[in-house]
Amino acid sequence: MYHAVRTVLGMLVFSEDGRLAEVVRYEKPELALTGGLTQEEREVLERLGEVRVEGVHEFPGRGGELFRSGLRRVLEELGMSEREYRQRLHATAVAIARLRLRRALQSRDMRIKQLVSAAEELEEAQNLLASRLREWYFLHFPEVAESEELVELVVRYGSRAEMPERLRQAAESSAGAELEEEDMRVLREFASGIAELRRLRERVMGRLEELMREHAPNLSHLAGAHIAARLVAAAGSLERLARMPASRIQVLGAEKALFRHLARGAKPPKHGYIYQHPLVKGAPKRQRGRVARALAAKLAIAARVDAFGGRFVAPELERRLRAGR
Amino acid sequence: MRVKELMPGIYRAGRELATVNLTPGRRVYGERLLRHEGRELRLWNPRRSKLAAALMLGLDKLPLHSSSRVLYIGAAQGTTASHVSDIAKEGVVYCVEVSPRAAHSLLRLAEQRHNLIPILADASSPEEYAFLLERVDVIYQDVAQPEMGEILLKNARLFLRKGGHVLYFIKARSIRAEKPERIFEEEIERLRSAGVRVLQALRLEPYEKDHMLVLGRWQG
Repeated sequence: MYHAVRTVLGMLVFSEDGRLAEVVRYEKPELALTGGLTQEEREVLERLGEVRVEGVHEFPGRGGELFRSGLRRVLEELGMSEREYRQRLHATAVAIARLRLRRALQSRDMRIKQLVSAAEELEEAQNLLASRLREWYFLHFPEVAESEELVELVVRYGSRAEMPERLRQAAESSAGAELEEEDMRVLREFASGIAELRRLRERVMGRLEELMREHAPNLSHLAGAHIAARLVAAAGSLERLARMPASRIQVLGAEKALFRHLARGAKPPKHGYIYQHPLVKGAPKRQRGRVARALAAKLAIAARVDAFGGRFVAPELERRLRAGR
Repeated sequence: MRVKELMPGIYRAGRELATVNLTPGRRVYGERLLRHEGRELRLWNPRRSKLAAALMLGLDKLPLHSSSRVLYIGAAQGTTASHVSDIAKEGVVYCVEVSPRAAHSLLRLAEQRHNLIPILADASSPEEYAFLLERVDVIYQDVAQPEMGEILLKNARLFLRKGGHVLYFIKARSIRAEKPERIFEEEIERLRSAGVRVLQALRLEPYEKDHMLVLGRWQG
């Protein structure tokens, strides 16, 4: 029986008595160590017969133990100085970290997280600026300052005098002050900025929806792409979401209430992000907890299928959810 | 300014701490540099680094010297890790960090420091990086996962030599929203029953809220 370990020096194979029996060197250790066994390694394993490789057959393994605790002796047997080893180690570790960093940054989950945050921040910015516009425009035309379509009105018409027919009367009897022309110009540009943010947010949400439908079709179908995306972002990745119990998914986004519950025994939250789901929001108040729990259970299944399986099962899940099973 | 060596590689400059810059002329996080007897010292800010905070608050035996081999779990951008790398100048500091964002800075730091080994991995899965490691003298851990105690012990069993030391930062808030004292007690008990002799336990107020540093010796 042999014990082996893959290191920056190559695969080291130790015999039963702990002596170095064989070394398979790597041309590019950073690639060998982040991939599976190389052709040459497989050949050596085949030739030697009984070999247990740490990280392949077992973890931790005796091969790894022998290497880690006897590094100095191993280097001596290989005729390598500690300095040389450290240099090789440093270069390889830097290369591997770079590879892993690139892989992490490439993941779709990362892009989804950025889009979710961008959409949220755009909404916040938009609300903040819209309430400023309201206060500002109030000076000039208080009668319409509370209007839902204030942004559109200001962008399109600007001052009171330019307002369409239906607002003419209010405009003529308005208690508002006259604004200087230059003030009105700045005010209108401010309103256009808000309209632009709104358009931008729709663009972000559109892209988010596209990505989610590709990345997690089941979850998106069941939860709606936006709630699905928030869940993925909150969990960190689709895979982490898929590993969560349904009860956790049910309260994602309600951390404040959850910790208040755990710390001080307040009432536990019934729902987090999934509150926005029409089934939950539309349920009578006393049923909401129950609906949220059922929905979360199906979302957990959907996330697992998306992360590990791939078949489109959402319609079936939805049918069972609505049937209360 | 009066400068004196507190422990090997660690200086006191006036009221501040400092280490000898391994990469003279270079700053890591905007810290001040100081010339002293032909060497360059990097001031070490206790508000930025919990280890510096612990030293200010009376950590008396720091188990680090110039040839220490250190496994540093939760290295983040490498602020504290850079000072550890200053101290262990002929040793090696294996820095594990899971967040890609932080690991990017760590990677740049590693490119300048020959004794700093960057590892982008999750410390709760040591199989992801065991192939880069050797037996170490010290495990330094500062992470925010709820299962931080288990992570420490898992790594200690694999990598820490018998008689080696742990520097374990307990962040009570990350474990549970409960009285910190209870959590500290639990964590210390966890270490004890796993074979750690606790040498010192230190609250980090006023620098950090609800944090404790435990210095222990691994009996194996």
